[in-house]
Amino acid sequence: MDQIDEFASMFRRAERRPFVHETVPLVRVAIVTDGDADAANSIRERLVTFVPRLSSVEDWQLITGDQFHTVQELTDRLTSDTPDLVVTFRHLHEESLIPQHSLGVYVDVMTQVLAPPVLLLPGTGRQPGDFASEACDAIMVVTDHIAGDSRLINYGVALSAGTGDMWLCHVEDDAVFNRYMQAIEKIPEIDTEQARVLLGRQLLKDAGDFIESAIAELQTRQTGVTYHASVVRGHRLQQYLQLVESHDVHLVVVNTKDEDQLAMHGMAYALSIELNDRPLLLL
Amino acid sequence: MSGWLLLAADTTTTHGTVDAWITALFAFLLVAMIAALAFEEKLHAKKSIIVGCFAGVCLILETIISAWTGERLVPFGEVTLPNGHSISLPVYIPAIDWGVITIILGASLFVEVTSRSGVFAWLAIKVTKLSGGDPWRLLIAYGLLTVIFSAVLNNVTAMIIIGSLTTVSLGKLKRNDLLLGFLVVEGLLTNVGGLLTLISSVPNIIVGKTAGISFVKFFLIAAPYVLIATAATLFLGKWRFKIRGLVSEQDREEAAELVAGFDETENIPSERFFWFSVGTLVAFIACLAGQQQLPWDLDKLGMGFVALFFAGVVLLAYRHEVDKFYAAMDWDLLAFFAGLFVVINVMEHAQVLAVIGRAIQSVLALPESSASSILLASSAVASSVTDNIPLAAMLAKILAGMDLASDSPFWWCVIFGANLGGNITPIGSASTVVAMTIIHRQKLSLSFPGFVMTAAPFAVAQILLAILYVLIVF
Repeated sequence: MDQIDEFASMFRRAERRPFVHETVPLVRVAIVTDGDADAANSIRERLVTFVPRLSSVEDWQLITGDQFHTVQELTDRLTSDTPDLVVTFRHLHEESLIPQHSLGVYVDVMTQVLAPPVLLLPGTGRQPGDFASEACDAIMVVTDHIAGDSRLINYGVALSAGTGDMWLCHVEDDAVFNRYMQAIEKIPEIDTEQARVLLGRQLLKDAGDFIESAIAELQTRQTGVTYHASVVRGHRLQQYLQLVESHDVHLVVVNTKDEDQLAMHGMAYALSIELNDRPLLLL
Repeated sequence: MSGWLLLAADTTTTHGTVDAWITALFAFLLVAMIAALAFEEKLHAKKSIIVGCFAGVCLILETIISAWTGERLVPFGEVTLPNGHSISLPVYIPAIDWGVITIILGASLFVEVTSRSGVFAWLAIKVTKLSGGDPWRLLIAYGLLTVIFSAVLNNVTAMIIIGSLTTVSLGKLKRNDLLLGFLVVEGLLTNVGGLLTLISSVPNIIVGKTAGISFVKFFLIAAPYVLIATAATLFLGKWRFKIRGLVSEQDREEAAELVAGFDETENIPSERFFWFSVGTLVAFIACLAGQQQLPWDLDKLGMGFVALFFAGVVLLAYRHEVDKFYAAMDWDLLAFFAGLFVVINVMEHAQVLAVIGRAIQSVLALPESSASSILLASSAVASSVTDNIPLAAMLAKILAGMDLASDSPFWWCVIFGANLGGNITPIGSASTVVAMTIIHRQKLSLSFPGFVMTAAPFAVAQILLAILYVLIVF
């Protein structure tokens, strides 16, 4: 009955999850900061420079440090205000001035509890970093969490200045691949070399097909942007950091939610910690 | 009981006189072999091993008995060729119908290679997309495709392809509630599709070849019935499993969007080989259809040669890795046939077939309509509990001994009965076994009695239609 599996695999392989373009609404934006109203207004102005599309936002909700004292208080307010985007910093209501090994409890909870995405700006709540010397025209979308999640790319497109470059990236974890290959090498019924080639190819294929379909669709919609695909296998964190550095990426879009756990998705957390010098859009 | 009847029987035929106890002994072995094949799963033994054991025992017993009685049961010795030369062959070699073996070997090899071109998967995905994901249209599309694949490939491969696609596509459409109904209908249609051409199923090959029915004549007689039975099965399936078409425009759009996600070109490794396979498939069917009209005595090479020739042609495309295709062949099936022909040859010489033939002759002596109905229905019932191949091989040999004309309805009663009987029980045919395997893999609940209860209205309708068809056409 091996042929049943063979044909089922062929038909599953023929299944495509094409990219579906959707316009992301950005009507109501909340800025959460430790600072006062002036500081919040300053952030808003720089934000509009960074993401020109935000100039059409109708409702800015500026939540300053004195308007919330607990995580619950803040999340309750944001839930009732229903913004389309939350803009904030690491380590809200914390003394640490040098972000190193965490994001702070507020960001941790906001990304997991709130429906709208969180735009995490460089620096901390106390000491915001510099981020808006120019419009955002170099965006990297990390699609490795779920290839097929059009939402991630749609948000990247929504925050783009409409010019420049966008990298749609997927990195398959080499360590995981090698661990499975080590197991396969010990199974006489499986041809090791064939498994290495076919497994390696199939792992990259789904993401590659999805990214290809996204680029084909986006090229007809946002013609000022040059789209690039990067689908590789390697050390995931190092590969992403290298891509960010080598392309001087202004904004990284990453998925943080994981159906299987309450905490932030592993790769998103690692990137959020490491990339503290540039804005991150956490979905 | 049957043994005592055989002991009392007069077994003098064209093969000479054989003691009744010898006939009874071999009849017992035949019944034992059929019973063993029926309980193949319980015995945990492949068909070829079961039949091979019986073939070996039959030959050993026959040799010992011949030594005792001083008279050979199965003739040993040299075989004289048409050119007058004589060659010495082992006794079991001439017993095998090499024409049947070469058709099965060549056709299987041809299908194995051409399926690598992605042509069958392409067609299957194409019709899925054309159906727009509407369940009723999908059932019609898969039903027709099952019939076509069963006719062109073989029943098992057809069930594997369509059954696999059904599980994937209904999963994508989130309609797993319809999966059981689809798989049952497809399983039942494989045996209907298996009637379409002379090479669609093994009983067709054996009976058709023995009767001298040509490929074209077979198709012309079988096609109208296949069309009627397919339509009846689909409508019965629609009613029985409550498979409805989509009503709202929104549902239709959503379903169409989901199936549009399939890429039919995904499994085509090379466009050149794809079109080469399509071309050779068409040429293969055309050559089989016109085999008897081939010029320059080429018709004398037979259908087995046509099958082997085309297998060789497509293998050229994979000339550096032909061993993979040889390894993928169903050697169990081929060895099973070889063993079966040896057993039947011994049964023939031991006069077992003559005794059964006389019982059948008494049925055939009835008015033709009654005789046809009884022969068809009893063939169906017999093939529902055991393998239809030995049944077809045995009945073909018996009918051949009666010197029936090639247009006799009795050949068709055996063909229809042997094929459709497979739909009565889940072990009645290899394709229904595959259907049950897929059903169980999908964690759907369907027991042996459950299948019989579910399939009974379909099988009864198909068999009644076949009886009516035979009575009207002949």
